[in-house]
Amino acid sequence: MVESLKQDIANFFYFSLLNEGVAVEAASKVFIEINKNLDPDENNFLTIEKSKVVNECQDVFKKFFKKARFGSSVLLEAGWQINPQVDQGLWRHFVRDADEDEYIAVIWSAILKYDDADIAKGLGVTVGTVRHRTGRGLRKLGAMWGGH
Amino acid sequence: MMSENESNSNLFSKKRRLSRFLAQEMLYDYVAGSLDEDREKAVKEFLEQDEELKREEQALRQAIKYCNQLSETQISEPLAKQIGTQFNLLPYIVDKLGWSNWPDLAKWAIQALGLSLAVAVGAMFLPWDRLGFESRPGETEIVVVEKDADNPVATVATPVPDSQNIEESEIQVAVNTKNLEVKQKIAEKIQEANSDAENEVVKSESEIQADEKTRIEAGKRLEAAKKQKEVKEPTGNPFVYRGNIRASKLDEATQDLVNTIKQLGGRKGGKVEIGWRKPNASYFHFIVNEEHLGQIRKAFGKYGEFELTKTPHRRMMPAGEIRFIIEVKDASVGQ
Repeated sequence: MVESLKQDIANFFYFSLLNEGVAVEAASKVFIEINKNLDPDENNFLTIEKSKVVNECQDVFKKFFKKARFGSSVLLEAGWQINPQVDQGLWRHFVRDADEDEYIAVIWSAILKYDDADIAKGLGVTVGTVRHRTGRGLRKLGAMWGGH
Repeated sequence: MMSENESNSNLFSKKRRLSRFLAQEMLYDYVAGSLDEDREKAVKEFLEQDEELKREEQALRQAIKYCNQLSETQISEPLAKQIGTQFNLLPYIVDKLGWSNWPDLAKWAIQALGLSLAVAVGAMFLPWDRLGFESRPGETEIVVVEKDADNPVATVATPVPDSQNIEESEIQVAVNTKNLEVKQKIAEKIQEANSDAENEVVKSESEIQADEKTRIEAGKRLEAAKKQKEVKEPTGNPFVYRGNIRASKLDEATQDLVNTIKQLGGRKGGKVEIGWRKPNASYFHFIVNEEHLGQIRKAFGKYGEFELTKTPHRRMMPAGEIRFIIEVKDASVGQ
């Protein structure tokens, strides 16, 4: 569970910040913040609400966004293992062109497969808003995929 | 009142078709399979008639497929261990300070300050002694280097601790007079200091006597050096008395004045004798004691109107002596 949680957090920052070094830093910060409010017992991670993870990641994302975009990117050796068939350039293009709300919703919903209710609670919006943002984001991504 | 199902049934009946906007909005739910049966059927029928929306649906499915591929992304084991197990203080502080939002000038200033501090701290803690820069902290050293004319090899005396408080004037005298006495005086002071600092060292009787003897000799030489310094100090007056007079009988007057000056103990002040004759004048350049000024004035004054002027001169006269340059011209010439 802990490893799964770490992976979700790390992937969220990897896809949203587009900066591996800052993504690790941000993921560590979120994990520490979550862990701070829990007992050392690993089982407690089973009970953690995913909306809290979303909420914590959103707060840290806002803090690290500028640093990730305009700071230097530190590349880690084999930090993330991605399917070599996947075109990462498309995703980078999408994140740069789409609205922040859209790609955040796409990451949580379409990539990390979080429930819309958890995403909505974590972001402080309605479920309809999350679905709307996800749909709009995917349509943009699809349009880019078609023209890529 | 119509039930909800009846209302939906009417909304999606064949009579009331979906608008394009609604169909587009429900497209993601349609692809995700989260629409109810009626709505799904309605959207499907709309897509059959709208090619553009149909292409949008296909793009949407591709995007979801692409996202599914991205969701297979795994993090490596080292990265998983790294996350949460480390907390770097520096990035945390930088983040708290909002470093990335600072203007470039402020960043450069802080970086320059940090660099300066690092250099200063490094310089403070560097083992200079081991690097060949010998120095004892908190103690200034004065080193006297003397070169003998006969022996061109320079000899370096033992460092003199600052605490001895050697007066600068004494050092100046030592340099100027370049005599051995002063040199030994400094050496003596050094020895005194060294002997004070090494009180705990046990000395033999002969060594103590030798030290005492050296100390006494050095004291004498120090006194001699002071006296020499006093003698060499510039004293006296930097003046000369000048005057002109006309005498009717130049030869007689010259001889009379020479006799008077010699009687007063006067001596020649330059290369020529007192009363040196020129074609139409006599030249009196002489030195007498200061007390005879009035008599000299009187001796020359009896031959005519005589006025002495005291003017500054670079030649320094010893204390108590005064110098005269007086010209006695023949009164019968050039009237």
